[in-house]
Amino acid sequence: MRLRVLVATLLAFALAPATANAAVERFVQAYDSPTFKTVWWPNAVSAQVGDTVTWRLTQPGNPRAAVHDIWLVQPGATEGTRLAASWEAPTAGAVVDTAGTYQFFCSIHGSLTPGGMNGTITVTTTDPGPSPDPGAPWETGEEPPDPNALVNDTTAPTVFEEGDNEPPTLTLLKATPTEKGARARVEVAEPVTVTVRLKKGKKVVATKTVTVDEPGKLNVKVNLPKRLRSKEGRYRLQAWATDGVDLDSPIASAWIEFKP
Amino acid sequence: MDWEHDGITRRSALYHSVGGLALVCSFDFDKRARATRGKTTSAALRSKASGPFEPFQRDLPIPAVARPVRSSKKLEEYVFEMKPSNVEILPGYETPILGYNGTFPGPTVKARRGREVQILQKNRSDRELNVHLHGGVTMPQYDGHPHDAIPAGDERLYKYPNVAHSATLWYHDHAHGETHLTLFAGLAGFYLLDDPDDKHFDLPQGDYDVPLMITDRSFNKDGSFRYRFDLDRGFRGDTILVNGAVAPRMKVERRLYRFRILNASNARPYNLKLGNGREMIQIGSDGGLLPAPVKRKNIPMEPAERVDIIVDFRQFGVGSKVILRNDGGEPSTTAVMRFDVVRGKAEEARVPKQLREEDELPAPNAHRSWPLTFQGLAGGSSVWQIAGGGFSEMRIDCRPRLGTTELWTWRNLSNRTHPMHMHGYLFKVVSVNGEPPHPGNRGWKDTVAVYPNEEVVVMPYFDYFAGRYVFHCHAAEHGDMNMMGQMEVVA
Repeated sequence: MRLRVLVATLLAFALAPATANAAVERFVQAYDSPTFKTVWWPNAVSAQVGDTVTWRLTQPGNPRAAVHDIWLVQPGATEGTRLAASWEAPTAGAVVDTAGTYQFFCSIHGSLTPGGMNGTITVTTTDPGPSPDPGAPWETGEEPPDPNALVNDTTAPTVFEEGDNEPPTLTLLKATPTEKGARARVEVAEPVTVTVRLKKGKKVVATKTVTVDEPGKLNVKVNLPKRLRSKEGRYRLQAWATDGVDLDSPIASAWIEFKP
Repeated sequence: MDWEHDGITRRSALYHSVGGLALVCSFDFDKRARATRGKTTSAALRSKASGPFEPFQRDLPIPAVARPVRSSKKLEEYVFEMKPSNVEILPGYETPILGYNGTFPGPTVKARRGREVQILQKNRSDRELNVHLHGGVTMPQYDGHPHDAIPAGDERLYKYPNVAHSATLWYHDHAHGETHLTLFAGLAGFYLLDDPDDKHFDLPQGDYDVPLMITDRSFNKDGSFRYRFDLDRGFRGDTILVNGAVAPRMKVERRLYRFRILNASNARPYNLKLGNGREMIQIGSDGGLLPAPVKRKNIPMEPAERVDIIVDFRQFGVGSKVILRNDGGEPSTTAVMRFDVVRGKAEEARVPKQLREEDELPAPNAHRSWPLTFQGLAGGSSVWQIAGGGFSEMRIDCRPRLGTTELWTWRNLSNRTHPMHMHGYLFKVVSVNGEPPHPGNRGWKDTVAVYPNEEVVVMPYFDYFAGRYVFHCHAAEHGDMNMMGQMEVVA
């Protein structure tokens, strides 16, 4: 009898390394990616009967972290059991003591629906080898694989305005009455069309437009209609420049005391 | 208070809804065996060079204006079909949608104050639907209460009296617990209520008055919409659509334009900026024209909010290209659309100094407080709640009196923003964290952003119609997963 017990004990020790390593802890991280993908990282885990799977529910330092909970479905079961949630505990663990396929999911992010935040644990009686620590994927910005998605990988524009949006400038150097109307001496900084007009109250009584090919100073004469040249009057002279893309400079103005 | 929980759990609703919407929105599992569909169009050829998501490749589509089947001075009658169809959103791909008349966005209804509109809505889908005129002052039986569904294959006549001021309204599905899927699938359209008394404002009209529906979507490899459920933050897509086109471009003349911007996304907020921080002149919000125009360089928009702006393109040279962008979006959700400036005719419109006169309102009749919270595991699953309760059609949360105003305090005790929306009535924003609201939020509103850990006081005016209406968070996943209450306004 003693011999049998001894043999059995020796056999147990001899066979143990092949069938049951010491139980290990395997980690799964909840991850909210920069493009709002919400996954368990990794979402497929291999384990040996007796191992512990620990879910890290919080994501210290991830600005896009959402809240998560973790539900575990035993092999062959249809209903899950809730283990914990990120607002209750940073981690939650479970010993997988049944061979088969466990499912796990977050009920806040799609549960077991395809595309939801879920995964599987394949539990066998043999040791599948070590599982790498998932680390903190938000620190590297890794994106979960999304094989069926048509991913929009365009980048943000860096220039928000193109073209000439700078209005031209016009300086009214002098405005003087002449025999027939008025003369404006103006200075422009680019090729423009200069418009000079005379207003009596709200009414425009005379307009002159000149095309300027070179920047610099120039005189623009604007003549009153003949019927007004015989009357004394106070007119508002206005001048502005229009560039090749139709942008106007601010209007410069001065009073003209006209005397026949 | 006797809080009850809805009989349908969040998870069972999700399972049910996911299966029911497979027609228009598909997932990983049904993609593997299917070859990519495609057809050769000129747009497809263009996209080969630039990729289907390249912004500014397509001209801005303007949703078709609905044509009434009968029209008189007092009444306009329309017939819409809510039905699945395929549309080309990405060049070279067909995207199955569920849309009004099979279009996305749906047809634009142009209504006039004082003239009733009746829309016969035919449900040609395989699921229960209903129609909510968002921001509309309607009798409760035509409001689109979540439990007032049109069965598949059935039809319903909706009557809109158009008694309120002019405003940019929109209509969308409001099926119980499923709006996050039906809205996503394409059931949304503009309803532009005009007021003949506004003519003297000389605001831009016709081609210069443009509705812009901004949404976000993701796509599967076959071009179908790709949905991922997120109860916490709500859905976020990687692509911005304006009027159903990927970040489009629009030719604009050097003159004034009125843009009626609607955030019809499930849950994505936007912070809109024009060019290098150019001024936009806000003239209206949810409930119509503001008391006076407000110059803004950035405009935050939560889901369901509308903002009417005037942009003066005379500040840009001919040939300029100016981008409307979403400041704070991800790289692929920054570009919203581009304006390409061309030579224009003489300007006829102007920006008035004053718009709508301030209304005189009765003093508040009651003060109610509504904490907004996330409840893990309430009733077996996580939900969002208002004042500690989820939605139940069997429970009335408050009974305001018709003809009165009240002060409602939204207290956000969560880490997410809640755009709180009230059916049937408009409200004024009284304060945000004890401070007066931004001038752009001082007009009539039907949806207000309550940011995390903030407190917003609003004053609803229970005018016009008595009856049972809902109020809820318009982040669609929050509202569906139970952040909704019910009020009965009593005469």
